[in-house]
Amino acid sequence: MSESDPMVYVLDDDASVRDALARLLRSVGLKPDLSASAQEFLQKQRPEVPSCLILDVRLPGKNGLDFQHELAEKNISIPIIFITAHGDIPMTVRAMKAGAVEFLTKPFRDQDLLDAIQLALERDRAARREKAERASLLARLESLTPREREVLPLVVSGLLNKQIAAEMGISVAAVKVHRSKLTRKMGANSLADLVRVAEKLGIRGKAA
Amino acid sequence: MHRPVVASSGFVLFATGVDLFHVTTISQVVAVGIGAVSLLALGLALFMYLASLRLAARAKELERRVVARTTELTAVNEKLLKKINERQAAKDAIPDPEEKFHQLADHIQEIFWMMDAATKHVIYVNPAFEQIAGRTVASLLDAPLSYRENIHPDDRVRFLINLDEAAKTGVFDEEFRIIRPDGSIRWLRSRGFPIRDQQKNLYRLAGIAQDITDRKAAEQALRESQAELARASRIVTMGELAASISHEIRQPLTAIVATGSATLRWLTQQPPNVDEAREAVTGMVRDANHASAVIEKIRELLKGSSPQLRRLNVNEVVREVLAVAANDLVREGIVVRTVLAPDVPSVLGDRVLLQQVMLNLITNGIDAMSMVTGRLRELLIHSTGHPDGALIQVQDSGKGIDSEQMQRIFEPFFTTKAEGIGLGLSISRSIIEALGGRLWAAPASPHGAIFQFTLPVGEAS
Repeated sequence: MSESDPMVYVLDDDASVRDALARLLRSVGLKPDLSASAQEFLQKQRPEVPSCLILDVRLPGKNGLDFQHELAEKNISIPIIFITAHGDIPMTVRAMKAGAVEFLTKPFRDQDLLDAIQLALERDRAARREKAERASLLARLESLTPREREVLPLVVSGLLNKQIAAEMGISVAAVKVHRSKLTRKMGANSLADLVRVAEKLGIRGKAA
Repeated sequence: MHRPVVASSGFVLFATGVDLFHVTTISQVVAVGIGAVSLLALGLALFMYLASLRLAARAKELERRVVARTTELTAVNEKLLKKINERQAAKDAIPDPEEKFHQLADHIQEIFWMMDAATKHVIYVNPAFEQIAGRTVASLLDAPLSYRENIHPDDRVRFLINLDEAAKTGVFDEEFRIIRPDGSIRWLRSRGFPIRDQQKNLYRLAGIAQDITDRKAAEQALRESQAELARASRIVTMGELAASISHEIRQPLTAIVATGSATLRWLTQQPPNVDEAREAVTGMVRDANHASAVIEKIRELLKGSSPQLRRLNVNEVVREVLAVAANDLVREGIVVRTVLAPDVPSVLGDRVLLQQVMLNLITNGIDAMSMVTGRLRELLIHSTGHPDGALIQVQDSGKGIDSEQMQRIFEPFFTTKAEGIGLGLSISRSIIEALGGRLWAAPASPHGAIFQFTLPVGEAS
């Protein structure tokens, strides 16, 4: 198994269920990581690889749905597959609204769980890609000088160089220099590219 | 009275005692006479004056006498009036039975009724009958048995049987429905009392019937809410229990299914991973054993607390359960007869469990008779001493149990009811046997079935 092999966390207080799920995951080549309590799961060092959490709704002293909420508050984003031995519809709705990938009632078909795991891992991969991209864009944004950061929103608004110059009270030549530098620093090849990058960072053009 | 005398010479002579009335007449006469003699006129005027003084005095005296006499008469009159009033009051105080009865009977809101005990003919009803029954008193008296037609068909047989009984005992107390001519239904409670002749023979029944429709409606609403509550709490309890059981069973099942799926994968790999498969199957066996242990634990849990054994009077238990079942019995038009031996031995048992058994047997009886038409729906409950202790029998006049069913009715999950789950008799028998008794069934003659159980005598403590 390579460094970037996905991790499937299992959080269930029932040892036989934990062990059985571990066997099932290993039989399809997945890497299980078992926890008997929320505390145990939180204390783990989780490698930055595509991951998902198979979470029992009933935890000792805690409700799985509340734990889902707690993870979101701690800014721990991991796709969750709920499993429960007594699920009801309101519970399912609540979990799904809070972003759960799947809600399975025990005992479930192995394929249902494996499908849910694939979906969850795919989501996590996408989320991780997006997060990484956003992190690199933020790093690029950090590399801009204060002047360039001032020019950026005006450029993505579609203003002409002389309009920007007038707006900022600097020369058109200076605007041109800032503009080419920041476009390069942001890793953009064109104005359209720059606009898209800026949008990802939440930078909107100033209304003309 | 003195009359004036008129002389031919024109002089007028007066006799004494001329009364006031005649003064004018005298004056007129004098006026004729004095035309020539003015002196005489003067004297006469004086005379007249004096006469008028005397007259006034006499008038006063007369008046005094009249007043005195009047006072006297008034006093007498008042005395008489007082006496008359006293006599009238005394007369009023003496009851006039007919009048008093009518004032009562015509204004009371309950029906007063009286009937001939032999013919059951209505002899009298008060006007309240019209208000409650919606038909005229005259129409009833014209057809003195026609009250029967007003009674709801479901209540009629019971009503008539108990009325027959009342003709012998004089005691009648029934709640029943009537259907009014407009089709509306009223609930009545009628109580009757015996009227006996001088030889002490019961020859009439008299009673009061009260419209209890509102009370019945309130009772019904209360019963429904109670039943709803009981049902809800049962569902909650059952639901919680079922949820708990299913959770406990699903955990090992989940493990078994997941491990089984994993095992299949190990075995279908090329080459098969026998070591993993062996370990997985070992886990499955362990999980299956765990599931079975869970079930055993639940069974123990459901057994619950051990019965509270006490010395009990089975007659009391019968009466308690009949009170609980009373509404169903009345609704189904079932006549209940109890023959409870006062000297039935006390038994050793758990009151609640025995109540459950009794209620189950009575409910079965009610259900067995629900389709019975054309004959009396009768539930007979009999308690008596028995070599084993006490014997309690519950006999219905229902559809009965054929011999094939008779073999199976005590089996769990066997039922002859459309909506039964088939546990009542099985559980009842378990309870009775746990208490050291026997529960069995037999056909009743000519219809229905008898369920009976014995219970051992409670040790005197």
